Amino acid sequence: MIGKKRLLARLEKLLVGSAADHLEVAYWGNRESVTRYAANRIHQNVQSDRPQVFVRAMVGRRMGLAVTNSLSTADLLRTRESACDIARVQPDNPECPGLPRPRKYRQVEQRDEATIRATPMRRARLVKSFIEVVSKAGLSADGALSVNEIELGIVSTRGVRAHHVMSTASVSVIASGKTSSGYGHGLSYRLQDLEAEAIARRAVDRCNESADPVSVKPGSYEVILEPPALADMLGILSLQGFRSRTLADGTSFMVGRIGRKVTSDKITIQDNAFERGMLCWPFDFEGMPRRKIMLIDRGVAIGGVKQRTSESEAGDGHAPPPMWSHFGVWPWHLVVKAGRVKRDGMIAGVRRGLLVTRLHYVRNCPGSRNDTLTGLTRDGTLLIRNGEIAGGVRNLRFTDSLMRALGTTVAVSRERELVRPDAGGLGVLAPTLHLKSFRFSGNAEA
Amino acid sequence: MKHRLQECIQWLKSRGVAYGDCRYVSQEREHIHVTNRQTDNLARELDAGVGVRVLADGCWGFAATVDRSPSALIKTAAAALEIARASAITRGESVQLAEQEAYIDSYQSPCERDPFEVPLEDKQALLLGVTASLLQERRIKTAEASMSFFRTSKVFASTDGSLIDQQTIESGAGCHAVASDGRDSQTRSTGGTTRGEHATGGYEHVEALNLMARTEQIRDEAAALLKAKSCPAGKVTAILGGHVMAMQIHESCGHPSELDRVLGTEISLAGGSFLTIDQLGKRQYGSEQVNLTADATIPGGLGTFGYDDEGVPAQRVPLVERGIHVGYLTSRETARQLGQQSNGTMRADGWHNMPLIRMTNINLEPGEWELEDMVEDTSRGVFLDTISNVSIDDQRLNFQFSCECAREIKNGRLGQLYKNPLYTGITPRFWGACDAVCNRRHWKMFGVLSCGKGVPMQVMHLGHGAAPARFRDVEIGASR
Repeated sequence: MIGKKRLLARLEKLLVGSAADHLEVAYWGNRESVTRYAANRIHQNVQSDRPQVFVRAMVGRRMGLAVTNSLSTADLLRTRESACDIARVQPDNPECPGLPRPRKYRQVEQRDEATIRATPMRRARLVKSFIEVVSKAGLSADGALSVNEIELGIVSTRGVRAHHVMSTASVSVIASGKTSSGYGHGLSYRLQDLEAEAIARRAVDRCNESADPVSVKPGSYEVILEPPALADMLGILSLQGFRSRTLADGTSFMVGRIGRKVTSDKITIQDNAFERGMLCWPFDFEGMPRRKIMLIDRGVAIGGVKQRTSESEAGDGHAPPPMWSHFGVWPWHLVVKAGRVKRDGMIAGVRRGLLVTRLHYVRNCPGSRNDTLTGLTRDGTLLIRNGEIAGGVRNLRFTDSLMRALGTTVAVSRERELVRPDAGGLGVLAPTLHLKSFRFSGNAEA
Repeated sequence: MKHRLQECIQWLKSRGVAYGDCRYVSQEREHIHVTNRQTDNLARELDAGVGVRVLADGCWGFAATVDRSPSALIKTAAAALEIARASAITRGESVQLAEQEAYIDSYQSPCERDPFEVPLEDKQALLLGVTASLLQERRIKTAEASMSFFRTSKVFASTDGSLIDQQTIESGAGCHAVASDGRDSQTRSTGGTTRGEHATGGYEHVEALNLMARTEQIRDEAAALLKAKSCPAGKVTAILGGHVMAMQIHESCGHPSELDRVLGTEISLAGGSFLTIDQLGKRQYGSEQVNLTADATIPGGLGTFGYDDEGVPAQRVPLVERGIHVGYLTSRETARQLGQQSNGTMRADGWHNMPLIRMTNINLEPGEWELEDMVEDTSRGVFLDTISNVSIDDQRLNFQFSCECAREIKNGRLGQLYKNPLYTGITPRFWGACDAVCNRRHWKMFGVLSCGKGVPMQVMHLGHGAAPARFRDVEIGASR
């Protein structure tokens, strides 16, 4: 970490003497350590320090972007000139929102020194503890432990001055036996929050519960959908449905449904960086404060996130990294409101159904304004009979409208888990859901 | 830089590592993106650094830095060594590498016209012309066009004595149009999920794409899809267009042929593979028409290079011969487990990542059919065009792919346009029903810029050579 004072002072030097009408300089630094393990041994163990400096130059109504990962003064000046040159060669763009004026943002403390200082040996020992729990159960352990320190600093000639640093720690554990597998995971800004034993034990238990799976016929089932499964679907759906670009071009499933009931009234979904338990970026990549945006309120479609359209606007605080600006803006901090039901008791309410731990390769199905998703179950799909787990089920492909399925919500758990989705954002704070109907279209191995 | 890398290699040797390599990568990138009548992203990037990989105490360690000073490289090498030694606390069998000859060599990809020397104004003008042409149809609400260029310089040095430098230039462009009538929206594009057509080569590749000339078909088909019927469900004969074939190869042959995946080291993220090693040389992967090859030597492919990131020369190897699965994509570590030598597929996304087994150019070898004859020979079926989305299970067996559009085939002729087609299948059964592949005249190399694999996620450029092919009894329109 460079630190707020040093970093912003260094970036601000670039603001002086530029030929641009206005200039923005953003720094993104990521120190990442990842320890991957497979079949009870560490097989990949990596560390990298990756800084990037993004310079956006405004010349009239034209914006140029140049990026470098070199922090030398000469390279930074060259990058600045390149951004100005790129802006100059463009035709005027009356729709260009320009650079925003400064706004106050909330300070959030999510940097844990012990996490950042975790040595390769400490990380390896933590991984070893997962492996021991799994291997003692006679199973094979696979997964990854990732630790990051991320620093973001933004300055501009408009007066923006924003800085945030955070740590993240995430772990995945897959326990595999001869006929089944189970999954455990954890995500926090503190490594010590990841309860190694409990996460690995969860994977082991799920693997054992789903051993010797049977095939069930595709069709509509009552399901218990665990947080990782829900998070992956919401992550994909947020890119399709809650993104400014798809709302503008009419392809979002929300178009034509704003103000209407789209799910059960038990479902409330927001984008809220400041929700307790969420990993939080308090401002976006233009230094604008994150705002809480209601997406679906008690089943009613409210809208998506909005793109800033002028210098005077702050927008919703969702500007993506400059390289992705043409995709529009999308939610980064999805929060599904907790319910009142205890998770442990949810299965008891299912007479005949399935429990889905996790999904694989979730994607949209074709069709305009379509919220139909497809994907496959993995790492623990269980049959529920008369309120009890009755054994494992072979993986299934689901194909269903998520809004339709959420329309059949019976219960939402009180407990939530923070999950990093396969696509779509920094994290999803997701409960366990009990749905009356979820459609499976086929068996994975027919 | 060569000298500094060699100093780093000497330092690793002095520490008694079993193996070590240092890789300097510098990549210059340029992206231009136009939406409707405005340029909404025009960017140049420079990304450079050094990655050091060490095999010590039977385990791998990897560290990377942007600081290319001699002292920083030694510090990074020391970090990689510390990481490898820490990994050893869970050690099972020691990692061992297949023998590999050392090379001192250079490689440069062909490039007739340096895309970074082409004036930005000219490139923008072309893209703005493309979107203006697409917008001539009033129902086109969003018209996008883009170009991307990559210039990559690599220097590789290893404790085995290799010292290799490589220069590669990649170029590409594409466009897509979203038509809307207020009730429905439909998309047509030049590249579907691959967001354009990219190749190893210079600006001559972009010129050869002739984007302007193709806009009329794109916009007309996008608009026509608004009134088209949905693709009817059923089990039919399907001819898959070249782009559809490319992604079919990617998902159902390329990924399951990665030997690291087969051996279980990608289970935590992407899953395993049904192509288990006990069935190598025996498994019926597809019909006799199906010949699939990994070819890192073919001109123009995004998976074409001189040497991989372990210093192994680029190769052409069979994966499926006359329907039988006969080979994998391998590394020095995994090839040794089969008693083989590496076939050179280890590549890393940038300087900051450790190399993994990645697809090179995974190609379906051309057959003998003319496309016109194939259609004429099909009494009833559909022609599927341009993949828009893919989903496949963690063993690469059960897939469901959707396309931008389809055309009815009736009595040997292409008929009406259908919207929202999707098709599903089980990989070996699907390839087993392939009864015809088009010839070299219809064969084309497709570039993929965004193949994801690994933790941390690495995004790789690779290619697929394919021609349209015919499959019997394909489940269309229904979800599996």
